[in-house]
Amino acid sequence: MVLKPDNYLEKLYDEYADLLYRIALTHSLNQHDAMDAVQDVFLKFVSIDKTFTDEEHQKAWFIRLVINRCHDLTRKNQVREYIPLDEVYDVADEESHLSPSVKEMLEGLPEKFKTVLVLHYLEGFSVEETAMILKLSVSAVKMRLARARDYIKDKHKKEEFYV
Amino acid sequence: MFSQTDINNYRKIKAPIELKEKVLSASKTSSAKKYFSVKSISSLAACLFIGLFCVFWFNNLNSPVTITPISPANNYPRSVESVLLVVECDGKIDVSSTDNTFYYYPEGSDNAECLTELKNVNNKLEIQWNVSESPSFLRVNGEVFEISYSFSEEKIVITKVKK
Repeated sequence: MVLKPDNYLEKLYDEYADLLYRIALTHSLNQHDAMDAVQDVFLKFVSIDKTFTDEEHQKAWFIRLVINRCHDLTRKNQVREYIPLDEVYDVADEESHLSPSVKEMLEGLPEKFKTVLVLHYLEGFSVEETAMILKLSVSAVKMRLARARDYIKDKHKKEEFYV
Repeated sequence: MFSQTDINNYRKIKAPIELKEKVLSASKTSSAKKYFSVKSISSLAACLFIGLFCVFWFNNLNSPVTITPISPANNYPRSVESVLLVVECDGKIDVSSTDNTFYYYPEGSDNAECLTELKNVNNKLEIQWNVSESPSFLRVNGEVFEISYSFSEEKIVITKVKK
């Protein structure tokens, strides 16, 4: 076991918490689950005492883990009722929530499309970086982005039709 | 896809302040549990057991063997027919000989038995040696001793030959 300074976890938290929370929020669409997912990721890190070859590797690991944790929590939520974001919106804590327009765009989007969309468009990772994080080929990421855009386009068309 | 306003607002999202304290305090509990988990205690116990075993085995292996004539203890005129030797060691004694010149008295028996091989004798073994059979060889805990009678010096000579 490699000995790390006592404040190592705190430094890692300060570095990654906001990023992980945002990604968790886009996947769970639920502040409480997003917080749980982020907490679980850091606890997992502590419990397995992981070391990384470099910072990019480290960032990718954290991102993948929080996405997977959100998927687990989402599956659990499908069998229990949860309170939608709108009903627990805390006015004093606006900076912890997704804007309604972003939330609307992500709602209903299949997970694999949502992930590439969030990482590339919202977080600003390049296609190559997104591919590295998700352990996908560049062409697979490009394909998913294209299909995500088509999905959203179709969804808007249907909404316009029904309005 | 997303408006620049949406992207800017998204990137301003921060993890709730209370999450940091939750993560840091939960990780301290998790670290403590890791150190005192059943798995870690079992590993520690196994290492301790192996260590003790090695110490015991090594100690036994390297405990010096002494062979001392006790009867007679000092004078060995040419008329001496047999000598009582005591083989001593801190641990267990494994003794063997192919010369058929050593005899011992099994516990509870008055009859001498020819010593070919004895194992796991505690600390001390008395054996009878016939001077006329000089030189004789005795293997004790892997070490070979030559027991011989010096006619010129009229004394018993015990030397370690090889391991």
